[in-house]
Amino acid sequence: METLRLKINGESVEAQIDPGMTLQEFLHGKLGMTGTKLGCGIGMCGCCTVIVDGKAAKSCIMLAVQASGKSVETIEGLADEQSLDPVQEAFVHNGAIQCGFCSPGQIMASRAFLNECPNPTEDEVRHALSGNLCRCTGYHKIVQAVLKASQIQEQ
Amino acid sequence: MDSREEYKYIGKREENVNAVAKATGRAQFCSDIQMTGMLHAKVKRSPYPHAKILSIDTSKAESLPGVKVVIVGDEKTCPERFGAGVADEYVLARDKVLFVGDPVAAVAAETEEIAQEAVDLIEVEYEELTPVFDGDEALSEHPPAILHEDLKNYKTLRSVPPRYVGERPNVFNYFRIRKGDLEKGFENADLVFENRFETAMIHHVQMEPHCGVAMVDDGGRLVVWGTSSKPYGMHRDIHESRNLPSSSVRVIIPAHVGGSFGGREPKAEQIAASLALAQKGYPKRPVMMWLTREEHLSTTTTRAHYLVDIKTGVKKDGTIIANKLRLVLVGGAYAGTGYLTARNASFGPAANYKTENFSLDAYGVYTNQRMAGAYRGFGNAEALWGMECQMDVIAEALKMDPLEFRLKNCMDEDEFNAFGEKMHSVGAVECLKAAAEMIEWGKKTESKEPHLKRGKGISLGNKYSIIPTASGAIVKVHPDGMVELRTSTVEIGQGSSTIFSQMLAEEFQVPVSKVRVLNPDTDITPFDLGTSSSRSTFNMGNAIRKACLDAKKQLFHLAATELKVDPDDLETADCKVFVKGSPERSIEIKDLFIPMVIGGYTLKEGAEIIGKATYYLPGVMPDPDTGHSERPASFYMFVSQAAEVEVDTETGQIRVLKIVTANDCGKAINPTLVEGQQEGGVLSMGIGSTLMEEVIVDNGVMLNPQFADYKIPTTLECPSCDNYKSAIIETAHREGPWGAKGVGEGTMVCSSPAIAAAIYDAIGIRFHEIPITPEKVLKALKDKEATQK
Amino acid sequence: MHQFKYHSVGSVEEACGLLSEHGEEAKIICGGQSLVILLKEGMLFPSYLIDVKGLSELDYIKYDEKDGLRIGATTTHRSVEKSDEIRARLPILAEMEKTVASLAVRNWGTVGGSLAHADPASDLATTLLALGAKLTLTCAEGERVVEADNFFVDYFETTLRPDELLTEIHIPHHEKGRGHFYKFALRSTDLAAVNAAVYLMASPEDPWFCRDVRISMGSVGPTSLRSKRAEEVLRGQSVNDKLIAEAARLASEDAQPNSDINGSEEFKRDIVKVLVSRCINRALSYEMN
Repeated sequence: METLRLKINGESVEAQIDPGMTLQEFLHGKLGMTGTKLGCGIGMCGCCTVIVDGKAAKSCIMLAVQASGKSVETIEGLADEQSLDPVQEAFVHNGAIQCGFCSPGQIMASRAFLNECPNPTEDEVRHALSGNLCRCTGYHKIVQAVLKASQIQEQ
Repeated sequence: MDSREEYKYIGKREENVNAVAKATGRAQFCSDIQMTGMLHAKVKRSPYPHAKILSIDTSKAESLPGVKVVIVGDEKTCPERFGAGVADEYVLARDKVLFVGDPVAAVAAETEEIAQEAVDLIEVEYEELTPVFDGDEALSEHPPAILHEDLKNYKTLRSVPPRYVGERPNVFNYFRIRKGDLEKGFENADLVFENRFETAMIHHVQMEPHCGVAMVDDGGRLVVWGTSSKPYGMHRDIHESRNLPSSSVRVIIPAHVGGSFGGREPKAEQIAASLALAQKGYPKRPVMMWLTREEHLSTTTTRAHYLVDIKTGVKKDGTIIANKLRLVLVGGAYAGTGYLTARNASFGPAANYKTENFSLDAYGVYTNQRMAGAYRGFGNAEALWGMECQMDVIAEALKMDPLEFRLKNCMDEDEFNAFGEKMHSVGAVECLKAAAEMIEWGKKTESKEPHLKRGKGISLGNKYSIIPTASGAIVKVHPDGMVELRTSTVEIGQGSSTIFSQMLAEEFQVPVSKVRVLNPDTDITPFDLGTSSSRSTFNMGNAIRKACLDAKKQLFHLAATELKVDPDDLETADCKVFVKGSPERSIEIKDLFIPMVIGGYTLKEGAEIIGKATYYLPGVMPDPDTGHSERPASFYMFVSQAAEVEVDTETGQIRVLKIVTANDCGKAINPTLVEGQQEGGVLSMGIGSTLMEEVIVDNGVMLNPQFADYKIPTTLECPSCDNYKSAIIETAHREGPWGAKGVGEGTMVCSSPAIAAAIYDAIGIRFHEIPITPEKVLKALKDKEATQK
Repeated sequence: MHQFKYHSVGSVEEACGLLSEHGEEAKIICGGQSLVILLKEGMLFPSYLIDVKGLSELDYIKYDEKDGLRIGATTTHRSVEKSDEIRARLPILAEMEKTVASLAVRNWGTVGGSLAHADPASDLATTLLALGAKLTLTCAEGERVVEADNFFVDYFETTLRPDELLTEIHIPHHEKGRGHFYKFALRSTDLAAVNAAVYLMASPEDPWFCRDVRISMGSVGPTSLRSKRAEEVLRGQSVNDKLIAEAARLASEDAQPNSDINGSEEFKRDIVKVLVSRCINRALSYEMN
């Protein structure tokens, strides 16, 4: 057993865990934060994407202990009581969500990317999201939503 | 019904009612369910494609700490076979295993890890039998293996029974169409073409793997949550396979399911149910069976490897006068939905072109692989792969523009299809013209580099929607004016909850926020055939409208008493009932309810304002010999797609530069949602199935059961936003709600031929099989060069 | 997952001390982008997992005109991809990193971890071979420098001893050097089915005269490999199409591909030929620095 201390969506969290537990298992299974989904377990589909110390991370291939002392943001922490994050708004308004299973991962990856690159080209958006698979949308409205979100933020 | 009429909610780009829940991670999927004391299930699967089970020893598994229950396939746990059309499957295999991955035992334990450890401790002894994988071999009169010796004694579906072929023991369904005089047709033809086309086995790749959660409630009832797209089908499977009274089973599908695309057979749910029931004593703890991605990709229903043999006779002027097809769905160990797919793949070819003389034989055969069957397009994409490629071969031979050739022959309003059905609501011509315009048909573009070759292709397709069909809807009007819909349609991401909300909003003239759609629950929501075949907008839409009429009837009856008018003089909007033409004479819906001295609000009569209706379309069953029927389908959606590709002739790599689609969906209830279907169908599945997807199998074992090696398009394999275009063609259907039909199923029925035609235009090579990979391209280019030398 | 004890270390000394103590029983984890998968799939059974991700002392990119480029082992792929210094001095590295997996994986995966993992499809390995890189391997007793050429031994196997930690990549300065990397895969995010890298040093007077060249390819054998025969064709020559074609042909012959689901042996050899040829052409077309 390892003692894990980290920040999740701004809150300090402490837990006793098996060092073999992945960050995704910790968030979804142990903490009940079901927005961070398991899609493949090998870091290929991006459904498990969270933001760790400001960088997009695939939580299914990160041991929870590796996030020790770090700041983790999940989909649940993106919106506040009053309003959605601009990326979430753009996804919702642009019809970029169908079944929704990949959506938290897409949104977190997009959020992290726009933080780093606030005014991207379409090509840059596609490269940033190449690790987030979607079967429903063909990515068309997702890419449009991210570009719209970047334009809204610019204003 | 004029689809061009303006409505307040119908036809509008209303925001998806589930979008915020999904965007914030609040949406709970079946695989997110967490219950106190929930056990986790793992399954022991056959490593052999065909074998007898000699013995199973579960003793070591049972004594592992943390294991609560272990079951095997026997009389007790799996008394009856079940199946969509032919009952050929047990929940766990009994006596024989028929594919690599066939489940023979299951464990429920405290954690997934313990359950898996227990599974690894189960010892199974097998006696291997000869398997059959090849479709032609399986179809033959003397196949290397017969999977179901007792096939003719299995129970079958009464309403649409499968048809066997005596001399061919592995056929689980056979269907035929005979129209006109085929022999004469070929005699009179100026040119005859004969070709075989094939599609590889591919997977739906829903992002949420199949999941089931089962428990026995305190009343002893079995309650099962799942990812199935057909809750009542799942319900029947569960109680019939266990000889349980139907009312003793409750099926609930969460409000959010991670995709379907036709593939959601309720096997995980069945196994969870067996584990829940097999627990001794009380409490019986809930059990979750969630497939790993590997299990998902390697053991669940696929789109079949399809064999399409097509012989076409044409006149010099390009008129198609004879078409003969043989379709073989190379199925799996159990027929599953494949029994119907095999039959209904015939609709696409039957309805695409006007043809006087038409013959079709369609087969579904068993092989020692996992089930193959329902996938977006339901066999029509596979059949039309063959037909549309054939059309391109013919157009080329006749030196006719492939677009002109299609326009000349395509189906049209009031024409008769091969079933002898008079076609209504046919947008083929408009779709073709729209696709041609969007791709700039006829305009050639050149690449800057000499080794890169470009080309364009166009295709036509259609997709029927199933008959017979029934949909039930219940509409309740709440005192606060909120309108609640109870149906068993599953929200799989297509947006059914949203368009139903729009329908109710339109009927009651209240904003969408004043509408609520319940998720399927067989205790509460009435029968629906299932969320497939693009049937929900049309069938459930009609049921909803009828149920709304019924609810409004009660509403107006109550209000008429208060307002002292005739119920026929009343209308409703904004949670009020008012006199037509005199809106000041009104009563608020909430004022129809009276607060009682103890307790809440009641009506003076009727207990609740609840409307109910069934929309039922029996159609006409096709004649067993000729397939003749005046109404074999509810409606048809037509679609045309066109693509421009660039081929790197040095590496064989293919880039889709531009791809377009025009879909005839009748009235688009919500254009944004229609576009979503078009985009997913073309960009993910159209491109994927044509250029990169394949279930690679060796002796029944899937070699690529993970996302690293089973390849679906990422953002980078799809053309840029500017280079994807879509058009919504609203060819109204006289029976559709507001003229609407459907869209989802037809979105990739002709993607592959459009891309393949573009490749042919670029490099002069005609591929008869998909996927078309760089290696195949390079080899074909080398072979072509060699023959030319 | 196999049970293990987890140690997050604060210094290279601490890491090497633990490796000395536990040897074969210990495994180093850094970004974990490959390792965690191996642990989950039950392919590794370490008793001790030593986390070196926190070793900021190994997270650096330093360029010197004479010495060349030095990259610390815990530097992420993403840092290499975005480094202004690398984009200016050795763009072949930055361009290659852009093609590795996807953004989130590059955010956490490190160059040290990637090299130690020794996936035969490694894009980094192929590129470092072409750049003539040297790797520093550190242990409690000291350190040694190994040529990248000699570091990779077999599928997922390197010359790293159980008590050693890879700490630095050194790419010596090459006068008038230009290079290009190409990757062939069905999808952009896939592991390479074939990759190739060419780095050549031209003459100051004639950009088409090849003073020296290194030609490497990957995913076509147990490790990335160089084709010395292909290099011989170009070395000391004025490069023309004929020579390029010959070099590409020889590289294709020297490749040792397996037939697998990514392609047949024959196909992969064809791709080697094309990629090597394109790498040489692209490298020659760059402005001399």
